[in-house]
Amino acid sequence: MKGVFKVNGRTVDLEFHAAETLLNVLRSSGYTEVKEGCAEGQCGACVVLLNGVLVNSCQVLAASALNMEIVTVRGLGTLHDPHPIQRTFVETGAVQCGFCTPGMVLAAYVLLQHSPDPSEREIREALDGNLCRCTGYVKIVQAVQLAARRMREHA
Amino acid sequence: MSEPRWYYPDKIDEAVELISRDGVIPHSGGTGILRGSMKNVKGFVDLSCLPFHFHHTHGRVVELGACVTFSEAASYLNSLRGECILSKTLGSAASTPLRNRITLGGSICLFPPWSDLMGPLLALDAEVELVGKGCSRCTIEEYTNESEIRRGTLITTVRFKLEQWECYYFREARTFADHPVFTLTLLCMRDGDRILKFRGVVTGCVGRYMRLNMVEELLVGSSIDSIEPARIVHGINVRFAGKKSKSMSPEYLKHLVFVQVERGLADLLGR
Repeated sequence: MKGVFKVNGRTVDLEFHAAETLLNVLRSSGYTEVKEGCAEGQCGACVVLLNGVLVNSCQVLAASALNMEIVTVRGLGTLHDPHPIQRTFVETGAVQCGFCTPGMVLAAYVLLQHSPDPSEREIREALDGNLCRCTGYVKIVQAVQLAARRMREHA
Repeated sequence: MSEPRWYYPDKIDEAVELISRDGVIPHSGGTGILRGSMKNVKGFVDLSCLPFHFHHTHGRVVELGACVTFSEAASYLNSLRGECILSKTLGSAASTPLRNRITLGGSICLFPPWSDLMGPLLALDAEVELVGKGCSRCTIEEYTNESEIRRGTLITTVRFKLEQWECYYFREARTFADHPVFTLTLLCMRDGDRILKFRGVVTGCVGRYMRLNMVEELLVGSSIDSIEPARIVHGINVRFAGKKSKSMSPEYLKHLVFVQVERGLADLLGR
């Protein structure tokens, strides 16, 4: 089947199988920043924003996301103009293998939109769907706290 | 596998007609569909254009649309005055991105063993409103137990009374993000030192769920001082399937239920 998606502000026409997940459709269309981890909705490597809501793209059938606004981590910032959250992840050493990072950054982005000054507990709760097997989460939490502070200062 | 067809009806009648066709299934959040086999699916009926996405309260009755997600339901119930067990259980079920996708209607329809929704709904004596052939309203218990009611119908609304229950909820899981092997819901309403109402439900056991009717009969009308939780729990005849869990035998799970009911009663009775 064919469908129109709006990915990172651009409208794209894609052809895909009717029972295909959004994860597979995005990855096969070049959006490889959306990572495939467990493919069961447990690890959060594949999360995207669907109309502003954080979802596991492996748990979304692509045909149910037609005409919706999809944001991947590439939609937040670029290599030369990173989002403050992306910048603080690098600065605090919150990135090791980097596989979970797109999902972590998006989950943190949603949190900071609703709660600009989150407690550590709120940060950990907001990241409850994102697993990291490298860092032990301490640096990730620090990165979100630092990003929150900078975003408040520049608000 | 032949390619299934997608339908996007904006009229309820049209959706009902579509799901009556062989191999055509309703799609709301899709998380349950992706866990099952899609081998025999010939079509998906997307429910997002139908008026099943709402939440409101009439007096003390809460009504939630079938396409409301766990996150939305938890957030709405949190905003209401008074504590509702569902705001806690739905707010901590699965993980944030999954809660943003799992819908009430889908969870009721599929009743996955790990559901954090069904125990509280059964304990609250919730009702569902349906469209399609057959009855238009039934209790959640009737819906769960009678396959005839489920066939050819769509859930539109979940309804329950907002009452001043004291609540105890337990999910037996190895980590917070894990699927629970069983859940226990206890609701208690007191008048001074007497138990006015009591309800208990275990999910994940043989028969999908079990209401703790025996405990309810023993407790209702009793004075709190006369209740001995340790004695009551051993009369609970809950059973678990043999291969429920690799690391937990049915006997072990039954014992865990006893322990949790005892703890729950002690908690609710203020011991």
